[in-house]
Amino acid sequence: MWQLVAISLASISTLFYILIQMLYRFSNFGLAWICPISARVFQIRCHQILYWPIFLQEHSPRLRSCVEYAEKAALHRHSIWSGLVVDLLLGHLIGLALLFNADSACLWVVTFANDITNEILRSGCVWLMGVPAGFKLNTELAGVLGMISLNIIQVWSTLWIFVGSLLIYFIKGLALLAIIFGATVPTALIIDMVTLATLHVSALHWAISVLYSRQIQALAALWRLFRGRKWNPLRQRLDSFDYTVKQHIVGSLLFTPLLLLLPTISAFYIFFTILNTAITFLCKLIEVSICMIHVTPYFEIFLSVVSRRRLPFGIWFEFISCRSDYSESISLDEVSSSNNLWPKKDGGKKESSILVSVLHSNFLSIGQVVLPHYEKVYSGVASFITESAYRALTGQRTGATRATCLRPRMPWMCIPSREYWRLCHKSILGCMVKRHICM
Amino acid sequence: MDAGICGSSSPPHPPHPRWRKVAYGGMQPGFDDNHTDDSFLEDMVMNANVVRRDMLKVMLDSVSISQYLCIVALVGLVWTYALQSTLDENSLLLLDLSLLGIGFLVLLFTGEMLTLSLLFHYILNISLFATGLYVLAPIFHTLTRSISSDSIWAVAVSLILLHLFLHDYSGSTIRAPGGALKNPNLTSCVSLNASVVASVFIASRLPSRLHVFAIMLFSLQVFLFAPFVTYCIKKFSFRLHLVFSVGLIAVTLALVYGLHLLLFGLLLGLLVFVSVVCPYWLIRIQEYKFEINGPWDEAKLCFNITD
Repeated sequence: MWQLVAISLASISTLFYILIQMLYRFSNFGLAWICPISARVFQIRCHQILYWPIFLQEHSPRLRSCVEYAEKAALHRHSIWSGLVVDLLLGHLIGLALLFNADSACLWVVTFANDITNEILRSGCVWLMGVPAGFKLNTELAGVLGMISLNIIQVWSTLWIFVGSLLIYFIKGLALLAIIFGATVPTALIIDMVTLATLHVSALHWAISVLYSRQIQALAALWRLFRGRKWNPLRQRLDSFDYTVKQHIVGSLLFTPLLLLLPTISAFYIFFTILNTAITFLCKLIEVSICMIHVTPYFEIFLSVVSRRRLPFGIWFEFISCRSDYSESISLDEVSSSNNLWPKKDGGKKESSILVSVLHSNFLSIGQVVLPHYEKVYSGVASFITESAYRALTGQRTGATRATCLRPRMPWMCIPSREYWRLCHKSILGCMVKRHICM
Repeated sequence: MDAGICGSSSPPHPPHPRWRKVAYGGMQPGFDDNHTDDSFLEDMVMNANVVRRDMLKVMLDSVSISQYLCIVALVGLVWTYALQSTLDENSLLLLDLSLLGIGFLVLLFTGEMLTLSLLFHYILNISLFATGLYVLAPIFHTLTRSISSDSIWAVAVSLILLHLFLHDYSGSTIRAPGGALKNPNLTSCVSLNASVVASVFIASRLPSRLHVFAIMLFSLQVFLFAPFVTYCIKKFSFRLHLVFSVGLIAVTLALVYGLHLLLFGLLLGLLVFVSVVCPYWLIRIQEYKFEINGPWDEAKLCFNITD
């Protein structure tokens, strides 16, 4: 009976394993380019599913020999399944809410997209073509840049009109994904969809940032030319250099227009940098929420609420009393003085004292349980913010939403399917035998 | 007895060693390291490098500065007339071509070796610059449209003053033989750059692209080649240089007088100051020259280190 159950479960798991391996290869080659965050979250979910036979095996020699390791392994195992359960519960909540309100959600998305395109993008470009914040920009260059931007926005808007008709199906698909796979998979897909939907803003920002950075570099080089200096890339220093008259004249003729056109380029660069940074930070915020769902130790939180004794955090002694030969009870303040703790030599008489103390244990609070898990997420976000700020100031393009904490905890399982079947079969049988003994 | 004992105990003092002036003798006993005797000031020479200047000679030397001031004033006049649309683009282009022709003729007559290859080199350089300016003219044309004219004039005048202050009046930025490009010093570079930037600022206020091209070409010709041409004239014949300078000063003053009386007064005052007051000052301050030379000075090489 048990053998049949083990064989059937192992076979189903192996089929699932083969399917996941194929999907993983596809996600690595195709999906990772289009939807990088979704691919990452999908990989994490696959990890959680594929590693079940390993977590089911509790009879490793290390588990038996080391209590601390056994405790950590148990907590890790429980945190994985509890995370999966919470993710699925959240997915059900979000999925059902989306399914019942798909039409209104679709309408809201369309309205929001139109408002963003018209009120911010188009109006912003027209504003920059005029006199933005009282700055006198070069009318011709502002006109050219503005027209290019408006044309790209128009082309993208026209393309998204066709996509808009499929939006209702996409929202329903997201709802179904949330119900089946949990909240994190559709959330990751939302990040990738936002990135795809705002590709025109990213493209415009990239083009303007290239223009801006090249202009800054050219101005710096020409300024060095006027000072009779030249950058030595080998020694990484400024060297004196005798430029010819011809070089000076060409430098002057190029420096003047570059300097006078810099405010116009800067205005467009600042505008598109603000937009792109806002989009990037929105995506990063959603990504952090996914990270929070993944790293939150739900089982440990549950333990700290239900049974705090399961999470000890250091020990301490409480001194109750100190008894001498005269049976005197000494208070805690007196115990601290050295005279009472050690035997007194008084005319050859020895007095021994007995120190009575109670061993107490500290227990982890919810904050102490959660904070170590969140620290990595916070550090990742902080480094991302500083890097983005530096890139924006130096005219470099802000890096694409790079997953800071969406990394699987274990390596990808790359064993043959036959070996995986054996592993599943063995773990199920081991579990059944253990259960039979307990009964 | 005591006296005898005392006398015998202390030997007679040796004669004090005479101080000798030696460079590497080290410390001399009985003398401080920085000791000097009465012969220290014997070799001192006062005002060894005094040049007896003649008022007329200094005035003649200052003609070069006056001449360049007039050249810059003429450039300013052309700019003003172009901005007032008194000079149209055709007139400006004609002026450019005539200046170029006159420049080549001067080079030819002042004994410069103008070979066919050198002439081709000149023409190639000029055509490259002209093409570059023609390509950049539309950009220059709309460059400062959003900036007020007062600001442009203020910046242009400031840059021209900077150009005049830093200009190398001793010679030419371009070396005479073969028109080979000499690498100028930093002040000359800044001066040249200031004049070019001022030209760009003024050109950007003109009504048409051809206007911009013509005025930029004119400015570059004057600021680059005028010092070279005047240098060649001066080298060929000082008398010719004087005649040319006086003629140029007269023409400039006449044209400025036609433009504005106040500007004429300013220019005349400046020319008098440069040609008369400054030479007089230079001669007068020679009386207050006080330079001392002596053996304490650092050694000077009696040969050229580059030889």
